[in-house]
Amino acid sequence: MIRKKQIWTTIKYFLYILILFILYAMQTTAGFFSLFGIRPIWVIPFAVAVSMCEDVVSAAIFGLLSGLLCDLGSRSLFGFNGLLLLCGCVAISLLSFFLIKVNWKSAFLFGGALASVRALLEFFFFYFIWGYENIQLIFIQSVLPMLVYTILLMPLFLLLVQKIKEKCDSRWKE
Amino acid sequence: MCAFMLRAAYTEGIAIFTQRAIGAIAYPFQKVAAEISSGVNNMLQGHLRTEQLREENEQLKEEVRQLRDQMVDYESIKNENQLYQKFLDIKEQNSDFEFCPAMVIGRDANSQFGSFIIDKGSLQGVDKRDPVITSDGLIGVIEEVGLTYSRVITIYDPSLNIGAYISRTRDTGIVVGAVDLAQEGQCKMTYLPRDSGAAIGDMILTSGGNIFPKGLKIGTIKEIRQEDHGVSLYAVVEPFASVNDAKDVFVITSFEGQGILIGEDLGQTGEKQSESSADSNAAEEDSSSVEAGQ
Repeated sequence: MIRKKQIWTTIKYFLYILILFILYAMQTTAGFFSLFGIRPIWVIPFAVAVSMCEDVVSAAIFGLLSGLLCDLGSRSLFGFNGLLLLCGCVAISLLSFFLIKVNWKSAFLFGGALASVRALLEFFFFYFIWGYENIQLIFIQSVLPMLVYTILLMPLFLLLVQKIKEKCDSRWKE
Repeated sequence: MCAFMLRAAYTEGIAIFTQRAIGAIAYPFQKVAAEISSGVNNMLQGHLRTEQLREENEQLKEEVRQLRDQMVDYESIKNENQLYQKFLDIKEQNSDFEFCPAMVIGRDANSQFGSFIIDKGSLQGVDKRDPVITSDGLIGVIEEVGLTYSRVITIYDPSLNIGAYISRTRDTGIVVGAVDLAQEGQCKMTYLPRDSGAAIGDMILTSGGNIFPKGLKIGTIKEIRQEDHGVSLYAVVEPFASVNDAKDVFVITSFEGQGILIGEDLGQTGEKQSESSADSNAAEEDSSSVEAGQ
């Protein structure tokens, strides 16, 4: 029984990591699921969904990993997204465990909050303080649409993670 | 029986009535038996040949596989050949250049200025601030180097300043990215003198220096406007290279005069070497820089 549980837990986390890396590849591939030139940050909704369904340690690990992948694929200071998503995912995991029921509404809430905080901080540190001309164009034409696109993906990933968790957990409980 | 035999010998093989009658009766049976025999024989032979056919099939499949691989290799070599052909001219004109061919492997979803990642890093000799070009012209500069990858910032980026001149009038200035122009795939050349003879369609080239070699094609002038402060002009530049569609690029890892004026690593010191206060004479000397801190 214990061995079975270990095997299926390993399979579950292996699947999570596999999906995360596939999403990262999608995120850094030009034109992939691009709407009017806007691409979402695929790994954030997934990390949030894992945080909502798994324990705090898993949330921390997936938050950190997702953040570092974001850092690897973007110009931001390496560790900026890692630290941010680590804290965010741990908070989401704790809130989901103790306070807020896990459903598509809370997925929108958590995903929206984390993605918004990240987008605003990134905009502030990497564009706003440098004083470029017409900086509002970046915010209106790029940051906001990307944020909306990312948040809209939240329920989809919550559903995916819930299905994987359900399938893998039911196997070892049989 | 003997009588039948004698009769048959006498008639020299011509079938007698009895023989014909028996033959006629036996014929359908023989026919059916022959058909069955033939069918069974074919079936057995087919069964026996299955192994042989399977082997042949495998051999043919293997041949097809090999031919497909050859086709892929052929296409790959053909594409590489076309790519190198384009760069041959640049190499012939600039024998001091050392190139490192690279492929774009990722594009930053966050970047507003088209920065991308290439598949070559320090192991292949790529260094920070090496110029990146396509066969059409300058595309950007290496901002960050990993072992097997590098991040490129493009000419749309406001943090990249490139010393440049207009080939016809020899007016110098600085090519820099702008937020509003980057959305349209353009950049601008600032600090043009008010009496500049620059016109739409003029070609802009790098003026050379420590980061960029002299004479790299950047783009053409689309429009000339006056700066808000009114002291100088700026030109809207349409780059020759298609930054957002680039797939294969070349990194210039070495050229004559590279890094001569660099006294310190901007990335490490965090010093901002913006050319915002540079005048056109400074641009002629060496005005290329990458702003640190981003």
